Amino acid sequence: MVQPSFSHPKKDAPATTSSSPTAALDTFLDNQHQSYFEELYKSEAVCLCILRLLPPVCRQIILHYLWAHGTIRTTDVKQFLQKDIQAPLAEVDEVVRPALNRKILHPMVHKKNKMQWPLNDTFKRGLRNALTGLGTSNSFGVPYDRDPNDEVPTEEELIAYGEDTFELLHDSGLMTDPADPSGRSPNLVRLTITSKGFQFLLEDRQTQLWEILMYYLTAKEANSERSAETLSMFFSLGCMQLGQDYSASQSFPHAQNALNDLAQYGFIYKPSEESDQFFPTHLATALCSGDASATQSQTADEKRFLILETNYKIYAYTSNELEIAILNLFVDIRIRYPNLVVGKLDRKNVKAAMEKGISAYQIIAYLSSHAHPQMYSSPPPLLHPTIVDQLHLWDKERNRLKTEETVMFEFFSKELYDDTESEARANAALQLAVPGQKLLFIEPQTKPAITEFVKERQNLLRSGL
Amino acid sequence: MPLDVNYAPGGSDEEEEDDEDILNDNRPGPSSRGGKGGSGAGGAAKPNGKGKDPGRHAWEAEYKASWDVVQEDESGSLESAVESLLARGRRKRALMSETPVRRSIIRHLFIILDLSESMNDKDYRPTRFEVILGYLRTYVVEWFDQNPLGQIGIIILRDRLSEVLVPMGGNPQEILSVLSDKRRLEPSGEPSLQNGLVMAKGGMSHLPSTSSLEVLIVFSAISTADPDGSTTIHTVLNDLVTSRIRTNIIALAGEIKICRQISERTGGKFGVALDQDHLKDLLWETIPPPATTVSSSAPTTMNVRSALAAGGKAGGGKAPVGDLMVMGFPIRLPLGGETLCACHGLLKKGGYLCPRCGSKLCDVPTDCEVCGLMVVSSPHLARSFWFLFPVANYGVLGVEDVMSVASSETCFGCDVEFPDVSTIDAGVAQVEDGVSPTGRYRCAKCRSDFCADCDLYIHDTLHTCPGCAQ
Amino acid sequence: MTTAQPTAAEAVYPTTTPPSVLLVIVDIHPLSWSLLASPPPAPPFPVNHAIDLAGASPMTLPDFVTILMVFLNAHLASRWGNEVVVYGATAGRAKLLYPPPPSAVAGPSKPRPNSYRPFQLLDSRIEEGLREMISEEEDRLQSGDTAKLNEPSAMVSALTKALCFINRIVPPSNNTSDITNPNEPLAPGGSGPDRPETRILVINATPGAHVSASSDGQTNGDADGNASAQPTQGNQQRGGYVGLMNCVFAAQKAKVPIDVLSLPPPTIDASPPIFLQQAAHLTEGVYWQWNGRGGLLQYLHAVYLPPASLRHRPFAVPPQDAVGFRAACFCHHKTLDIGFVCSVCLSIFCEPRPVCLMCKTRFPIKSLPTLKTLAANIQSIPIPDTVPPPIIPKGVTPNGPNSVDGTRKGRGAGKTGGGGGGGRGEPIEID
Repeated sequence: MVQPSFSHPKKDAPATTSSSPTAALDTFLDNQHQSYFEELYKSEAVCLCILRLLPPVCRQIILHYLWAHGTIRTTDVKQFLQKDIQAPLAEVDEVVRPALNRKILHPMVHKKNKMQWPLNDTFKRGLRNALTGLGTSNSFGVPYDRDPNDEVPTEEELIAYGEDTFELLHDSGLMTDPADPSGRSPNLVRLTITSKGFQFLLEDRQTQLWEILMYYLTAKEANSERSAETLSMFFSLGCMQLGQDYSASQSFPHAQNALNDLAQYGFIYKPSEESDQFFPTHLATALCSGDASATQSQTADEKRFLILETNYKIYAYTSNELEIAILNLFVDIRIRYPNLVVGKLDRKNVKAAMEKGISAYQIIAYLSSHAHPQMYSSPPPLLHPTIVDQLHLWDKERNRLKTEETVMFEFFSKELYDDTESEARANAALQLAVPGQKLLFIEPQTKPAITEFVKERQNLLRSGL
Repeated sequence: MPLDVNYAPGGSDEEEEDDEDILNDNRPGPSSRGGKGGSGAGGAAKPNGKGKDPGRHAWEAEYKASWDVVQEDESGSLESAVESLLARGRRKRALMSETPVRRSIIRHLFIILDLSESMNDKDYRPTRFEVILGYLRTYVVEWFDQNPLGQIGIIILRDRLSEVLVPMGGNPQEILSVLSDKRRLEPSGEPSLQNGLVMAKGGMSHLPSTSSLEVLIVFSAISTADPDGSTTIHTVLNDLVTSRIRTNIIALAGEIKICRQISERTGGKFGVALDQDHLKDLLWETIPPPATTVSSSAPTTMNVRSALAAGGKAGGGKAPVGDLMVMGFPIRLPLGGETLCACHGLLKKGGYLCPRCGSKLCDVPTDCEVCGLMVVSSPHLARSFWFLFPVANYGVLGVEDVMSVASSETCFGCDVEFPDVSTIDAGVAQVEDGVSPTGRYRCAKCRSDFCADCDLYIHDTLHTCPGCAQ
Repeated sequence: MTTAQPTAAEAVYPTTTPPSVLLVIVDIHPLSWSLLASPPPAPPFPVNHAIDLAGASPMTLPDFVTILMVFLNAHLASRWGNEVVVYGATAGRAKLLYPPPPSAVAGPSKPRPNSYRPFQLLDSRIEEGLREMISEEEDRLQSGDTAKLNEPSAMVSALTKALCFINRIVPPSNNTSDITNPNEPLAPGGSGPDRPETRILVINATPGAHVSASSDGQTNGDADGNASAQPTQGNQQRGGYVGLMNCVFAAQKAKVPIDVLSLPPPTIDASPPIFLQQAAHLTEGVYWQWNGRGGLLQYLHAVYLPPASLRHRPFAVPPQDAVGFRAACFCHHKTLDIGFVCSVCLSIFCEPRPVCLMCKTRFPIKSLPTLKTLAANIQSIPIPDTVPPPIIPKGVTPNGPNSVDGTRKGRGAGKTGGGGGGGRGEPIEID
């Protein structure tokens, strides 16, 4: 009954849970063409950030050859990776694949019996300039020429501003509102959560930021605007310094509109709407830092407020309306105090949430990511297996029956049945086998092939007799 | 519970005795703790051990007893405990003489490990066996750290037999790999102390009596099943005494008379481990090379072959106190192609070149097969040099010292900023227990200031003062 | 320490590495750099066109610092959270150059639009620090305090400072028995930031095997001055052999590799700085001697950039030369192949003596003459040259197999150096 895998929701989690905070960015970039990257790599900041997003081994290979004159030879890479010179190319190819995807390396060329990957010249120049500081594209932001007596917001103020604005955005992240793709004026009244919206809440801050930005970017693309400038601006913002002010018109001459949009999201702070001066907030400067410790530490403690008992009772030490609203989705809330909410996980509410498309995995992930530090002091499985299993069982209840098209074969001869079954199994065409009644259920599209096989087999068996 | 009171892991009176032990290590007789705890030598191998107070036996004690002791010690605040620990470390160091001490440096040690049924007892968590194996692994590493020219062999006792698990050798990796293979070390049967000692003695018989020969027995059982015959354990004991094999015994269960006798007569130490921490203390006490006072005529070390080659049959019967040894420092070859080695006549990669004759040797330290030169790797020697050049103790800087003399604002070692002197309350700021109120410690020689972390690190691990090195 | 996961084939390569802290010790001894800036002409070796085409290039300190800055930027660029610490070591003195002391963090001018802010901060602070140090040196020279100027660079002091720094940022893990604390539950804060991995890169500019090994090495010519000082005081070893070795052992304990880049090319001094070489060998660091022919930027990136967690697995490290395990004697600070060692305290002496200088043990007087004759006959064999000399005359190869190894390395050098010596046939790939 109880499947052990229930206790490890992480492992079986559907592929939608992204492992890296920049997953949204990755999928976006994977779909772009060479010319798009050529344009991106004109900015040194982009080169630097893209380099850092590569896996470490690939990153080192690129840096290894950055200052070399020639192209990257497969044999050299093999040697550098301590592989046999005869090792299949696929092994090396797998390592440099991320760089090929990002068009940092051009596809392999054969020259004089040597296979090599030429390094993208634009990228090479960009990265070299980033390291030496000899670029000309102003991609790290032109500082604003301000009066030294001007009042400047402190870092704390910038962080507070970013947090406040983002909180608002957070609420809107729950809903889908086709009328307002930019999410600039969220309609707070309509609070219907979607599966996607719930998933969004589960992500850490950096993932959320990138998801929003990518959402924004695709929306712009849909309006057939050029997005390369905007994306390159995101990276530039990620390389900026918190507390420093920059000049908008000089830093991003071609992306003024997008910059204003970002001000709405809280990524940057502008003293006034039409001012040329802007300050990136911590949301922007943490965009590209891999560990995002700046943003995590902000929320880490606030986020841990849930205590879950084995009797399905939930104690939530929070007064955050949003969190309570989320809890209300799948928890039967019984008591509310100013800083404490007590409720119970029950079948009715959980199934209601699941009807909305929230999966058991998501609920479990939510519960464990918000678990109170006290929960960690009990022995390892953070959530009691009983509860985890029960959630999965409720999830299963919803879809006990599944309809599928099939083709049924009925056999009289045991040999023929066995042969066909093994054949179907080998071709992954088998849906169900009932040996007692000698029935086979086959994927519909494989019917002709199986029929063929059965006939052949039949003839063979007959002639054998 | 008299003993529990006596044995406070952090008790200060204990510490001072330890210091004495370090300085005067070759004092015969039981360890201080064994002596205090034991109810005389009469308690022998009765199941009740020391009889008088059964509550104090390790196998009867509560698992968390040791924690209670610690808490009693602490008198409330944790910080004060940490500070006093720190201070004790400093005082202990201060007691250590700054002049170099003579120590036997070439040591040969057999560890005799009791792998009888009793090792499966659960009075140490998870089992005695696991605990001992864990400690031994770190012990071996630490031992080789401090005795770079020493060699260790391991003998195990089980099923009334003894077996050489690892022959005498100088490679910690080899020993560690054997010790991590638990399946090969499954405890069973009864131990035979006699067989183990005979084997250890046999294993060291070819070694010159001039090097320090030692046996360390970790004994878990409370009885020994020795073979019938003309030789008894007492004759073996006499042999040990004549061949000057220092025998240290650590018993896990209780005091056993024969064990005490053996260690006393061979000049070793005997101790009964009260709990896990104490066991570690007992083990670790045997790591530093036994010190030899200059006046004593105790045998010290001498090189195997080169000393003979150089000095002839020096001194006839009486071993010389010390001698100059000719040593060669080899050249390590890179792992290139294979060449023939002089010691085995095999084709091998890498290896060392004897600096005198240029023949290739597989491993050092060793005596060159061709010219007989003792070939050692100089880092091996250098490991023990911190004994010779101890770092001067750092003095504590009080508030007025910092105020009066211009002192740097950052630690000379890690360049961390010192706390501001002006914020320190002058009333509390008096030098107490060697802990500086200003967080500054000053080297007496180079007058550089250090933070507490660096002070500890420099004296415990680095052994070189950054200021004096300039 | 990434946990190895041999279960899946794709998990062979780590997907993340811990943040890495690189501590660089730069030797800025003025004498050494004046030598490097005007290297003596190459000895009249038989000509090897493939290598000599590049020609020996002089290297000045500003040139080198520029290269070093780019390298340090690349280190910062290769991961978020990477850090750089720079020490300068000059005659008898070592100083922290970067990061600046928190009190003096005045922050340089305004950000430049074309350089990443951390890079800019690092570069300007290093430049500033170097200028400070050099002007201090000049002050010393003016004030006539020339006594210390003749000393070699205070490598040992810099190393000890670097190790103290590492000890502060990465306190040693609980070195008590690991059996007593089984898998502790993770802290509520999640996995927390990884323990940073640290490594030390020593950039040596001082020629001679005796670099930093002794306070009065042969480079200074005042060896006799200190030789008579009473060694028993134990304080004569200013930055000496013992200190360096202690650093090495401490680094070994902390699992910190010490990488060594030795700048003086073979044309200035053929013998490597053996004690630094030993240090690199013992801590599993990389030792590399520049050949004096440019390409330093590529060398630095290719050889020293991969963090320790990626070295050996998967990345290859350059094959290391033969390492001479020689020692320095306590009496005259000579570097020895064969020495006389006190059996009691293991002090090393270069000549037989009746009484140990360290522990005052009296040695048997009888053996003294025998030892004296032995000492007279000692002549050391040379270290086999594993880097192929420009050309190998017939019959002089000391040991064949090693030169094979050396040629491979030579090729690697040519390759990374931008195809300078890339004339060798590459195996043609068939797959």
